[in-house]
Amino acid sequence: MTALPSSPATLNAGTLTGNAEFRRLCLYSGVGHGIVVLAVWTAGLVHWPRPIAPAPIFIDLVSAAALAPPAPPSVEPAPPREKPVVIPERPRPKPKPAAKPAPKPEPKPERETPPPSAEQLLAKIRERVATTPDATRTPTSASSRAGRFDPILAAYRRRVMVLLRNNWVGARAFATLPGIEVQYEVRIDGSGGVRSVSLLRGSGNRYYDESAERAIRKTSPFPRPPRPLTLQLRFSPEGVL
Amino acid sequence: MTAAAALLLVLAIAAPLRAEERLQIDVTDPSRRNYQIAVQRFAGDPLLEARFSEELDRALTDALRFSGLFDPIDRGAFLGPVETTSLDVAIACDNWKGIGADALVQGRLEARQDGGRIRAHFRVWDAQRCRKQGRDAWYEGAPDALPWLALRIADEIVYRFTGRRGVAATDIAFVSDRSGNKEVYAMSADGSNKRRVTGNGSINLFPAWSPSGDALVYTSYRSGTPDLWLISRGKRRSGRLLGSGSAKFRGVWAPDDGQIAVVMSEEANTDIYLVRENGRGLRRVTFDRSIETSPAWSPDGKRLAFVSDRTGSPQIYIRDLASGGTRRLTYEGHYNASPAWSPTGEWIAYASDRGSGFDIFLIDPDSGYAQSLVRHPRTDETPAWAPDGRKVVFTSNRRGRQEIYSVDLDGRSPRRLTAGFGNCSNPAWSPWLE
Repeated sequence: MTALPSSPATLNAGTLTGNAEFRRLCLYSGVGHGIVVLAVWTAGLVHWPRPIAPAPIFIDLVSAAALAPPAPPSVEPAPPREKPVVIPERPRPKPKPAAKPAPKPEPKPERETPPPSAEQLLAKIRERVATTPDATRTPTSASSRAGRFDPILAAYRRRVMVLLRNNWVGARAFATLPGIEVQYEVRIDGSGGVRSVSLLRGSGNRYYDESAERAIRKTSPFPRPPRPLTLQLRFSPEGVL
Repeated sequence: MTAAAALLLVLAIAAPLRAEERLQIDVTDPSRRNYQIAVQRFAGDPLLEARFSEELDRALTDALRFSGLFDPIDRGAFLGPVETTSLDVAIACDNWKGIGADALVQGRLEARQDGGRIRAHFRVWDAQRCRKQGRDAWYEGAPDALPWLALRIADEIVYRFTGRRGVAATDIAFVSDRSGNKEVYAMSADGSNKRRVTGNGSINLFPAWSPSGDALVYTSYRSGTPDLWLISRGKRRSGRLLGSGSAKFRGVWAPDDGQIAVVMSEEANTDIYLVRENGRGLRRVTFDRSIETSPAWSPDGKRLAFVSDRTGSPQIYIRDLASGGTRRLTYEGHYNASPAWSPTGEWIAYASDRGSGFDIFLIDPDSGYAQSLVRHPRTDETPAWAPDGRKVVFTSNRRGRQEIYSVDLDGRSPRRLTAGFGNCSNPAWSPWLE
């Protein structure tokens, strides 16, 4: 401990304290640091709309959809309008054991515990993007409409596909009918309720078509979609036998 | 001008937002799970003993399980009534969906005035879509036929969900030595209702059904030499098929035109012959000096698969009856036997020894592509097809004795059909019975 004050650097600083040269250096240093800080800030501001990189948005929005918190204003008006249609068609049974699967735990921690030290700045930017008002997100949604890859929709598609696959039972009976296929159109509202199910193209085997329709009914209510959707579902039993 | 441009711009932005988005999803590789079916105990009739309801209930539940397509739900889990109270009352679909039921069966028994018969009324629901699956219907029979009525109901339920009738109410003929000698027996396809068909105290083998299921042809040593005999449960004549003389080892009925393929030994050479079911019109089909045996008809009756050892080891061949052309089908395995052509025509099931004892394989008769169906260290042999082509029965000694098992075409739902019934062999599955 006693060795520290007697180190050369401390001694030099002590002798230079009252010096004009020192004050000048201090000013340079101050201005220099200021420029650097400003540069970093500006860089941050300039880049911030850009980091709408797929990963962070993807994670945040999925969790948002599952937890059902602040819906974007553009989606919000939809549910109240469509709910009356949903309720008469799908009265929910009281004890539904297979409740809504909510994959909430995974995404949240990732956002709330940002990577330490070195990536702190980047993490801060990410956080800011994630908590930005919805207006900034709309461009992503709109871009998907133009046919570009939309990770939110891709995740939704995957989730619905797995649910339908699990709920499609009894399909073993049709394993000996290769190439059989049926298409349904299912309109779902903003909360996942089924508004209509219509047969787009039958397979010619009504029992097969019914087995697929049962899978749809069993899956209802669907997971809450990012926005009201019309699903075009194509069922083919490949993979059985 | 600027206002118009602005309006256009607004419309261009707003239009895609208003149009509802479409999302295409391909659903393949469906779950292997079965339909979950809730079966209510049928309402009884004051004129009937309670045991009738229970008997029907047991047989129906078991037959549905046997279908390999339905898993009956334990009644302890029911939220709705466990017994049908009345067929005039609507059901609460949510109660059934709530326990994961895909289907619900309701019914009631009715004592008929005429001759003490029982009528079993039933109703099938699609619980997921909350609507009746087909119309209300009934089957009727004598009280001792009640289990059989249950099998018919189960088969009808399978039909209403798959478009193809179930096979529980069909029969399987087989050979058992439980009486001390080999006799022919028959049982319902789910293993219930076993009864004896022959009782001559001799050796009886290889039962084969007529296309309508009203008769069996089998091989019997009752007159000393092996001969073919017919036994009928309808109007058909019973008795010996061909005059004595040459040894006849096996007869197999053609699918439709009243012919029987016969394995017969003439001058110490075993070959396959065809004969009409009235015993006339005998003609030879194979002419090789080796042993030809185990004929199996294609479903259209135009081809015969058979086993020949003409190359040194028993292998399966296919003969086109019109052209006489013969080709070898199996090349793998040093002993291939007992071909059985599926009713759909797409597979031939057979027993193959590939060095570790016989197992059951399936082979595509056109491409020769083969895959195993049943593998077990012990011997599995003599496969036969259910009339719907979805199940295969075979003989196995996996539990010591030779017993008969059934298995689904995808290798699932294995089931032992004979237990404590002596050594059983030579299963033959009947067509659908009326």
